[in-house]
Formats: sequence, C-alpha cells, structure tokens
Amino acid sequence: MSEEKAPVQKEDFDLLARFNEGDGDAFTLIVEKHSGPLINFLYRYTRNQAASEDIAQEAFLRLYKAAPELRPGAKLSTIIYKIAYNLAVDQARKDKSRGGLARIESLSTEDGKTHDPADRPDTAPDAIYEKGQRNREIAAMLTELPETQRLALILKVYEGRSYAEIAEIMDTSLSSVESLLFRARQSLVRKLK
Amino acid sequence: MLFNPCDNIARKLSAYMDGELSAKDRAEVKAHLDGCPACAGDLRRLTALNAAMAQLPGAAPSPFFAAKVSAAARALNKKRAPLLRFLRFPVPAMAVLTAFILFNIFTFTFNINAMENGPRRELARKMVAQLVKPASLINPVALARLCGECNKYMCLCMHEAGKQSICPCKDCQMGKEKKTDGKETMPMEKH
Repeated sequence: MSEEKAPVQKEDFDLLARFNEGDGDAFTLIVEKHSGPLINFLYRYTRNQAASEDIAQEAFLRLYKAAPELRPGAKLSTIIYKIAYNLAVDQARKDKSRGGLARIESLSTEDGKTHDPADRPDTAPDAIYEKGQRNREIAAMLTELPETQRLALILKVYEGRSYAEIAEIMDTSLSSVESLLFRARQSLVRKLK
Repeated sequence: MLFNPCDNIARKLSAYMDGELSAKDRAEVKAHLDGCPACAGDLRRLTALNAAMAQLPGAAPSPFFAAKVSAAARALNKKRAPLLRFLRFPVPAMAVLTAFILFNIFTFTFNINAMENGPRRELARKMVAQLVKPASLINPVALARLCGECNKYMCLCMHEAGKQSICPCKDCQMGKEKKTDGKETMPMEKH
C-alpha cells in the first residue's frame, strides 16, 4: 500500500511545487484531482451537495493561500482533508447553534442521479425499495452518531484511510481513533439488530 | 467468570477488521476467533455493517467545479497583487534611498571629524539647527551643508565669518576667489 501511495504523494508534491513557482494550471489540476473524493467525503458527512461543495471550495482556497508555506513532502490530500474536516465541523456547530438542520437529500439517488427502476429492468421494484429503505436507516443511524465517531467512520469506510492518517486529519491520537471506530461500530451494530 | 477474554477481543475486533493491529495482537485475535463462535459472529456482524455502509450513495462534484474554484483563486490573487507590487518596488526603492542618504551623512561627518573639537562643535550646532527644519526630510545631507543661522552654504558662512580654517568643504574655492586682493590665503581644495 505504501509503495502505491508514494508515487501519488510525489505527484501531489510536484504539482504543489509547480504551483508555488507560479504555474496557475497546477492548482487547477490539484483541484480536479482531489475534488471528487473530497466532495464525496463531505457529502457523506453533511448529506447536502451544495453545502459539501461550498466547504470543498473554501478548503481549496485556504490551501491556495497556505501553499507557499507548506513544507516540501507535505501530504496534500491529508492537508486538504484536515482543512475540510475543520470547516465541516465548524459549519455543523453553527447550524446546530442556529437550530437549523441541513437539508438532507434523498438517499434513493446514486452518484447524484435519481435511480429510475426502468433503467434496470432486471431488478425487482421490491428489492430497490428495500435497498433504499435500508440505506435510509443506515444514513439516519449515522447522523445520530457523535460527530467525531461519524467522521472517523466515514474516513475509514469510504475513504480507506489508515488510522494514522485519520489521526492526523482529526488532530487526535491513534488510540482515540481506534476507540472512536470501535464505539461507532458497536453503536450501529446494536441499532441494526 | 471474573475475567472474560471475549471482552478484550471484542475491543480489538474493529481494528482487526481494519488490519490495524500489530502482528502479535492479530495472531492473538485470530487464535481466539478460531475457537469462539460468539466473537466470530461479532466479526461477521461488523463486516456486514461495513458492507451495508458501503452501499450508501455518494456524490460527485458538479460540472465546472474545478473551474469555479480556480476562478475564485485567481480573484483572490488579484486582491493580493497591488500589495505585492507595493512591497516589490517602492519599499526596496525607499531602502536604497535611505541607504544613500545615510552613506552621504556618514562621509560628510567623516570629513568634518578631522577638525578640532571647538570648531567641530560650532559646525555641528549649525548643522543641527538646519536639520530640525521640516525641509530636511527631503534631503537631510544637502540641507545640513547649509548654515543653520543664515541658510547660506556652510562654506560661504564660514568664510564670511573669517573662519575659513574650519570650512567643511573638501575643495573650497572661496579662498582662491579672495586672492584678488593679493593676500596669500591657505590653498584650499576644490569644492
């Protein structure tokens, strides 16, 4: 795994170096490369496409401003996720204090598009309904988790991050990450029974 | 049972499933799972939960998201550009000008340093009187060469006062101009 990640990290570092030398296109490439996974991650946390894109844009602009000060060899994806994580948590706290809830979009969509049963004639409508129902249950259970547990779980299950990377993004210790994931999963398994 | 080994294993199942345990702990958990159907069942439930979570749909960026972010970044750059231009040219130019003025002051004071204490103090007094004027902000060195009492050039001031010996000019022409009356004057260096 580390051998696969090393070329990716070098590519990111090269793009960052080019950007710091004044190559504006390098920044666009950085955004194109990381926006998909980042927005996916934010969407799983916020359940709102528009909010996810707003946070992602702000995260990239902060990276843009901080780029000249980043040390060589900095892992770009971890830095962007760390910025986005902090922004998402701040936004959630603001929404909570205002007493509002983010508009949670329908879970019957896949890849942002509404799933039309007619597109998949081989799947029974009942199965589609049951799957949608199951997804809604799981999504609802996820939103009931404490923020830190939810974010740790999203970073592990959907982003495939290692415990060390999760600890760096969330600015916490390895043992905390292990504990967060353990408690999150225990809680969900109990609810699913 | 006071100590239930399953409790210890249960706490490690999540990390075991994620492949984050050390080799020793991994072997310990595996050995326990091989002999404990309850814990093996817990692991299956965790794996099923992972699989169910993976079914949740995600999201992709809207079209032109990258272009939108790049445009916002360029707009940010435009706001910073005037500040950078200010820092790039006028500030170094002011630094060079200040260094030039300081250099001139240094060489000027070095020239009068060779004078005796009394005349030097007199001269310094006249210079300070000139320097405290607001106009000295423009070019303190040029203005310091003027007499603080009469605003005439220091050299002229000294000669009119009959004190040409303490004239600060390196090469003063004043003495040579006054040779018309035939009186011998001290040769002065060209000013």
